[in-house]
Amino acid sequence: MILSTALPALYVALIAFHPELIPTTLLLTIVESRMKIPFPAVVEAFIMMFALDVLVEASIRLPSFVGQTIGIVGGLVIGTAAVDAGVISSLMVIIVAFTAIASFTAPAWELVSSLRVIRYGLLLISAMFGLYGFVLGFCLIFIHICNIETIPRVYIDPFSKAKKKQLKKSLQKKLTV
Amino acid sequence: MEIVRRFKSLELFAFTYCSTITIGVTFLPYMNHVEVRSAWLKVLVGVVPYFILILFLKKFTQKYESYDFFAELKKAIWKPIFIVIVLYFIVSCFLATHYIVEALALLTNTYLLPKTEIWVITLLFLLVVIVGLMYGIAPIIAVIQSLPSQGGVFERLDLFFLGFWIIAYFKIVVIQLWFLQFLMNKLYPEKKPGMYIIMIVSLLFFGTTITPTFIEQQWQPLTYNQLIYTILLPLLLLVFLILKKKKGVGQSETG
Repeated sequence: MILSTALPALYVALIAFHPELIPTTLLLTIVESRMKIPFPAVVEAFIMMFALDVLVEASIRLPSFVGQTIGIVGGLVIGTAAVDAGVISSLMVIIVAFTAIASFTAPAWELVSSLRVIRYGLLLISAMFGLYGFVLGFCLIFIHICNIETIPRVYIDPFSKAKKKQLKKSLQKKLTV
Repeated sequence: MEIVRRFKSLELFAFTYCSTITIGVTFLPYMNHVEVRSAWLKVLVGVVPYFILILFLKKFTQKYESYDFFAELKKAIWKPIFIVIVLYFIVSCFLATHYIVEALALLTNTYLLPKTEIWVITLLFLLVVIVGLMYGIAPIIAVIQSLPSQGGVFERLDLFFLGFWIIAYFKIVVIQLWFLQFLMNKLYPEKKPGMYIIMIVSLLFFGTTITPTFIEQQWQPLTYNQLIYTILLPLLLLVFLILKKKKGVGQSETG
């Protein structure tokens, strides 16, 4: 879930603000792939994320057999065409595709929708303030998560307080399942 | 409903360790090839007196059932002196927070956002701090304490670490401002705590914008004041309260 919210934002923060953080060889590859792209990294990310969301929403509302076709046409054909046309870099396609796959690990669709909103928010703040904005954005999210209570329990229970017994019990349960 | 009070020495140790030493220890292996090594060793040595403060805090909680340092102090001393002490704590706490925000803004401006105005960096940080204070500090601090800082695939690890520094600064500022608001409530109880938060943060923002950066010589007396505010005065007051009440009441404390 962290990957599905943070990956595009982290990519934009690193590319646009702190390229010196990226290892030189990887940076050269990224620069090469972005050489002919007319948009800045943040616009590129917004286009790809929006396209992905349109595809996901379309595939949900269509019958399952057409949904698969939409997935193939959208994901493979349009993705490849966009890279060939020089609108989107290949690395951005990888980042957004990985983000999409990571978001499907969430157990409920409602949760994916909220992750999507957070993803856009993080991208925006990272595009404006780089790594600084990214970290502060995460602080905001964590403040909110830490204060959520559900079924009269803290949302991040048993991690919020040092409840060793509960933590041990939940870990044992995970291991035995 | 009976409230069970527990104040274990282990918890105190863990809090101090996580708040102070972890950053030093985390950075030491990375920094040990450059000249800042001695500064970090100073940090490690400098934290030792705070363990003495913890020891006295523990003694205080054994002697006083209320666990309320300021309430007991208010009972034990003449009221005008109590007001002066609380006012001193308020001013010092504000200055300490001011110093931290200045430092964060300068570090971020130097290493992460060199083209951004310092006031923009400060404003963004303080806005997030307001949200943290409005929500309440306890749970977020617990989570931040558990965040590890590891390196690996990044080229400039110092910049990567700076990201974690922001979290550490955020934690410290939120704790300090919460304490400041708590002190102000002790002096003049306010029904809407949000008022104090907005007031303090606004003052902090204008203060950090108009004053010179923290590397200037004018700040030097402040560093001496930090010693008095964080160690000397609390220690003296704790010793006074402990000596005043030689025989403590039985506690449910388990540490």
